[in-house]
Amino acid sequence: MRGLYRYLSPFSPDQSGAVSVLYELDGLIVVLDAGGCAGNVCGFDEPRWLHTKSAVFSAGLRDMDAILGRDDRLLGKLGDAIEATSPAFVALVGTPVPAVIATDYQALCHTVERRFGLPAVYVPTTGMDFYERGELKAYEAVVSLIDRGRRDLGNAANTPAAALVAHLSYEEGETEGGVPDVGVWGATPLSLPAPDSARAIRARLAARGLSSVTYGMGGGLRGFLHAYGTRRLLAVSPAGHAIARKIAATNGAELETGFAFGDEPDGDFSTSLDSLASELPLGGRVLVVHQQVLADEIRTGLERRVDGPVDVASFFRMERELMRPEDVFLKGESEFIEVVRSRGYRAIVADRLYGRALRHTSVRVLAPLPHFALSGEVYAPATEADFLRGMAEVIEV
Amino acid sequence: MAGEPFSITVGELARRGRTDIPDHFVPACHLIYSSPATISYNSPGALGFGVKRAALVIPESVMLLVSPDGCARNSTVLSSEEGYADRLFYLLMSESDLVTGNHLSKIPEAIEEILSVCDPAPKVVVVCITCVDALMGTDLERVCRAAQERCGVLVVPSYMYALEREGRRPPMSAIRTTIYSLLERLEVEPTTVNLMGFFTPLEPTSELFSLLAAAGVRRVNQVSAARTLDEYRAMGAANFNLVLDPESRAAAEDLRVRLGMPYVELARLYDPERIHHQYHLFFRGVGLRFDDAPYLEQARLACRRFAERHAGTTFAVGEMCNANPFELSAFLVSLGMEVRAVYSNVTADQYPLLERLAAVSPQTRVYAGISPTMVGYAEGVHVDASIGKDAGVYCPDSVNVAWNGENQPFGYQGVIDLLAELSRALEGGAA
Repeated sequence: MRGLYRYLSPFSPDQSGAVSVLYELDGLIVVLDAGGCAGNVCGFDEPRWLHTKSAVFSAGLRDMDAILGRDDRLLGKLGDAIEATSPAFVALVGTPVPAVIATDYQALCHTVERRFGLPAVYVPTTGMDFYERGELKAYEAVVSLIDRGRRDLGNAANTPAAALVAHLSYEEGETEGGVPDVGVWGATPLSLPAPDSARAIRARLAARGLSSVTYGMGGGLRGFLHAYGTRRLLAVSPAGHAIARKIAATNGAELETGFAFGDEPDGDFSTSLDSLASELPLGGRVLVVHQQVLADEIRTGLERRVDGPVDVASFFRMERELMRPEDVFLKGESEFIEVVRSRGYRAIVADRLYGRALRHTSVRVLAPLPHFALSGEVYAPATEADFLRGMAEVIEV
Repeated sequence: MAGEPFSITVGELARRGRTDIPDHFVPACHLIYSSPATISYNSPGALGFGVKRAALVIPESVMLLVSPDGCARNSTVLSSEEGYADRLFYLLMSESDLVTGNHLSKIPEAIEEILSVCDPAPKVVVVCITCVDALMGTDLERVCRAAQERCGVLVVPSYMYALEREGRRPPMSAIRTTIYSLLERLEVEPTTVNLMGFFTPLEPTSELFSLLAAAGVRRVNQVSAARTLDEYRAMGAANFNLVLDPESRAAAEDLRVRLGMPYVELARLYDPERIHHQYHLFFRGVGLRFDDAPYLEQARLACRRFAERHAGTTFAVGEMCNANPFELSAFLVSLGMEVRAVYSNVTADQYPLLERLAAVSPQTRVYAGISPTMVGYAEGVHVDASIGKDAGVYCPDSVNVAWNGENQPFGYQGVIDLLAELSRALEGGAA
């Protein structure tokens, strides 16, 4: 049955994806919920919560707020929180409750800007999609905020967005930050292998003589000033690919995908794939399940080391141009089991939690590939090196 | 990014009174900050016993959570860590379900699929719905009745309505009523008592069991100790219910009205003299024999020894522990300790205990963990020891005793065990 999960458990929802993009941007992030959604985001989907402060709040909606649409109370609460936190902007993040009562986000944002003089954006998430949809919506919201600010600034319009862009540009000028060579999109804890991955990507690019900005982790709001300025874009997740594609279509930047792990013989990635390949059943068909960009990178490396075909499957958004004919977008748990059974995969490279759904299939070995959007902290590696090493420690299903 | 976190002395809180609680403590008055220390408060289902794990205390049951993806997310981690992943199933809603209500019509088929994969098959399926169904006015009782007829298994409705957290039936109170909803009145056994309130068993060394046995009570039931549905149903024969957590009051009242089972409330306290007073009132009130002198003496001895060794120790007390933070703080002060900070939500119900602390330590500061100003909290309180998981986060340089284990401490033995654990921690042993 579509929607029924008997073995797997729910993935990170879209509101978590939205917060993961907004987390380090110095905004006041208000999850429009009763408390549970924000608690889930902060407690289970945001590994930075325990060590990096961010003004993520729940709107604390109650039944009568929803029934009577008491936006005035929400605005009053926002005013107090703005006073307490001095944010650069306000971001409203949707959940199932505003989805049901059809909250007019745009009107709320207009009112916030008028009343408090701060730029406001909204991310129309519903809690019913998976995280990558929320990431994309949040990227779009922030990019368009900066766009709007530039436009207003150009028109000499005195708006909160223009003031924000002017302030960010002034700061950028003070630090003499130039336009980075590469803009890395999709770099959030929910899509990356490990907490240090964004730093590792920047380091690998630096080793090639390229400066970079990572949007999601380690970038900051100022980095978005260069969203359209960087001439090279690197997408490390499908949501990153979708937003980068839009930017490239506008400014003609060169778009690549992948993690730039490199395939040097003595590198972590290469060593792990060598070990993994030696553990897989000979000649068998292999399935890699993760977010598409990472899965594709592992597939490409593995193909050089095994005889049989290696396919990619994902429960999350898949970009058509990155898909091969045998790759599968999974619409649910039943389809996952059916695909594995019908194609006779004997080995799977995936998060260990998927193992529960594989008990009655032909799969014999599972190479662990933790995905925070599925198993959260349960199997989360401390470092990217741990992530890569762990891949070779196959387990029997 | 932020200014000073809001705090107020407990003396000032007491002076203002229960009708003038500062807005920072009232969730409806501000945005809610999900500080790392208060996650479990902000999200009832986020840590430990939320609605989902609580409902599964019914033996031989499984849960079907019917909700948007987001409502179920925490279960991924918690069910793995706490070992109930095999008993939790999910029917995720789509946006079209919001319009059509189609998710409700899928429930019977979903239950059939669940029954086909469970070995052994469950005897009870608890169906849980969330905020969106609260707004849609879903009649889950009707849906569950229909599913029960079709599937041949008990189907119990339950509600995780975070929107109603400060309402008349908050989720954690409502789920306690659900848990006991399958009980039917059996022939009354005069020497049987049910303990209500906790989702895990009372610490077996608590003197409450001995005192009840000495008074002639032969059987003490706890839902968390029942291994089978039949053992659970035997609770219907109890003479009366003993309510150990106020959140179970509504469930006990439901059993009183529905099954004619009376109930008595006992609070979890840490001051031995008050524990003695409470036992005295209870046992005399229900006409049972009672002699707690040996237990009281042991607790007094433990208090004297702790006071001698640790007088002047500074403490911070949080709300994520098996105690009321104000009552526990007042007790610590009575032992000669200094309580510098309490991290807790404040409600009108807490005033009797809050006023006790104010009387002995008016300068103790109370922080509102959910206040937006707490985003600016910067470990400004320095103490020797902290009690509660949240207080440990707020005072990272202190010795922390989380005191939130699964087995529930109660009575004199609870005091003795807490002081022993504090002593071990303060003297360098493992907490």
